[in-house]
Amino acid sequence: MIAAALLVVTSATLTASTASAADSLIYFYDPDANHQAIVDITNAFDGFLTKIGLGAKFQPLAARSAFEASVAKPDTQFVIVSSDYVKNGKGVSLVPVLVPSANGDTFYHKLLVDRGMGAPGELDGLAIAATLTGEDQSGQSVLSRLQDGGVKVKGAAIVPVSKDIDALLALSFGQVQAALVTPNSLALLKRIKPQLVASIRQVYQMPKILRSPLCVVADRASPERKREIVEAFKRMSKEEEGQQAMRTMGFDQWVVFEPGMLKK
Amino acid sequence: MGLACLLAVLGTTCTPLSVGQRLVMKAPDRPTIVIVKSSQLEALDIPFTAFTSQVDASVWSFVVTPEQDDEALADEISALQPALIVALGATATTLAFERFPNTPTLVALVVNYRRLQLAQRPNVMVIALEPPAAAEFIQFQLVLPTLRRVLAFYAPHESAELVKSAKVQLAAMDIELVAIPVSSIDDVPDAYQANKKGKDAVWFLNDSVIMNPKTFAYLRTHTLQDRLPFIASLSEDFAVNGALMSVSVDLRSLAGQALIMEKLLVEQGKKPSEIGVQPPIGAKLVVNTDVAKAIGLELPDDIQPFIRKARTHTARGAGKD
Repeated sequence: MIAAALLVVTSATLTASTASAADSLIYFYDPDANHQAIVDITNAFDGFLTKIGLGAKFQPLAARSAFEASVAKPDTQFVIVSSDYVKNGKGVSLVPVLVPSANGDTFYHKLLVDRGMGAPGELDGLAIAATLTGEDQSGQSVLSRLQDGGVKVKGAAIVPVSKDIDALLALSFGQVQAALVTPNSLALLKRIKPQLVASIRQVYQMPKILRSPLCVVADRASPERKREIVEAFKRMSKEEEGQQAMRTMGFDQWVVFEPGMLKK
Repeated sequence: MGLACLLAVLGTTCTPLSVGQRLVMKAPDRPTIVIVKSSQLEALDIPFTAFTSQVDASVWSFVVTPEQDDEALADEISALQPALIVALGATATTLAFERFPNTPTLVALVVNYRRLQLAQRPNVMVIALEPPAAAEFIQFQLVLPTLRRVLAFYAPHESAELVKSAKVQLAAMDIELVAIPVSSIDDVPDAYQANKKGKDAVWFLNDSVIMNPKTFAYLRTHTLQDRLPFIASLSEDFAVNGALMSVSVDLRSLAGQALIMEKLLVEQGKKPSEIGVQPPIGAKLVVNTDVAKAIGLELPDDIQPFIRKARTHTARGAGKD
């Protein structure tokens, strides 16, 4: 029997940030976020917020219901939330003020790729590897979105993975017949192992999604507080702790939100 | 995988016997699937929620411990006439093998599937706990893209086959695996000192002799002193405790993979022996940022969204030199 089990270890625990009574909480809810890295994201964000002395803490939430309950609290002033929620969420008004940008792009999208065999997009009864959003553990919403885009996925199964690289590796090793991934993950694997992506074929591009904006909740923040928070977030790209937080989340700066962004 | 889960996988923890729990009841004409877990752990329940909700069968769940009355449990399971038994962990697998030698069985979360003597068990299919070396090293190369010569130690009677296969797979990736056979863990210090020169990393591979606290502690200390990346298989606990990084199985993916195998068996009529041993899909890549800093390793920006970071939990000086 492997003796590794005897190692005296303490597992890393996934805990939310602990705010002091004086700190306000900036709630974060993004089903597309890397939930494996949520502790890293929280630590990095809190490191930045602490450094600049903003009196705020980052509080990730995995469930939509928990997010909605938090937004309903009268002292919640700022949230970072998926653009889909901003567009379709009901209840308290959320006003986007800043949007993350990676290499100048405020949007991201996912590609459905396969190994170049058979008719593209005919995945009935086959297996697709994909990172799954917080509450969709079965992958049904992913399948519905693919079906809406004309991909044949009747009887297909989603194999959930923690990161897009795993989906690509499962595809490369023939364990699944398709993978839903970001272009960044393809570029990364191409850099590490170009031969693995040589036969990969793009069969469908999901609609572009605006990255999760920083929003002001209703009219709860004073103009001074709003200005303070917005200026602080804009400074993230200039502070080491801020850069670290943004790298962990896959973007490199915050830019001013423009109303047209949500309509694209 | 956390320590508690790792212990459960290895069949060394005990939990009280619980009676069978019916999770999902489908139409009477649908088959019955029985999940037998080696211990009742949340870490296993969460991923298998998705399996239970999606599978087109009635699903029952049982917990088995080394101390309990197998006879009574086996009778209870037999009465359900399962079309498939999903055995999670060593104790559950032992029960399935001994009591249900003719029932299709999916085995997962068992270390070293080669011990299972699958040639004698045509009713068994497996999701291996160990990814192929090639898949594991692609994950390592996300952090160490220039990895070319890797040192490892192994006990020939335990891991000769694993090492032979890994050498071939890694050679295809232009990585030379310098695997040093040792007769006991006491040989590791001298073997390390004699072979460390010119290596890009030391791999703590899944060998039941080598993988022990003493060897881990020695290699952790000396690789840190030598600023040599120390990379580990099987459990994220190694990264949390001072290896540079670890690659381990992703429990969420495991449930999805089990669903695919169930479909092959039940819907497509394949035999378990035709499905055979499947390498695990997905992996947890955990990087210890204290150790990375201590050995002067910078993590590339583009990998950061894809890794999970850990800090060393014990005060050993990592990150302070």
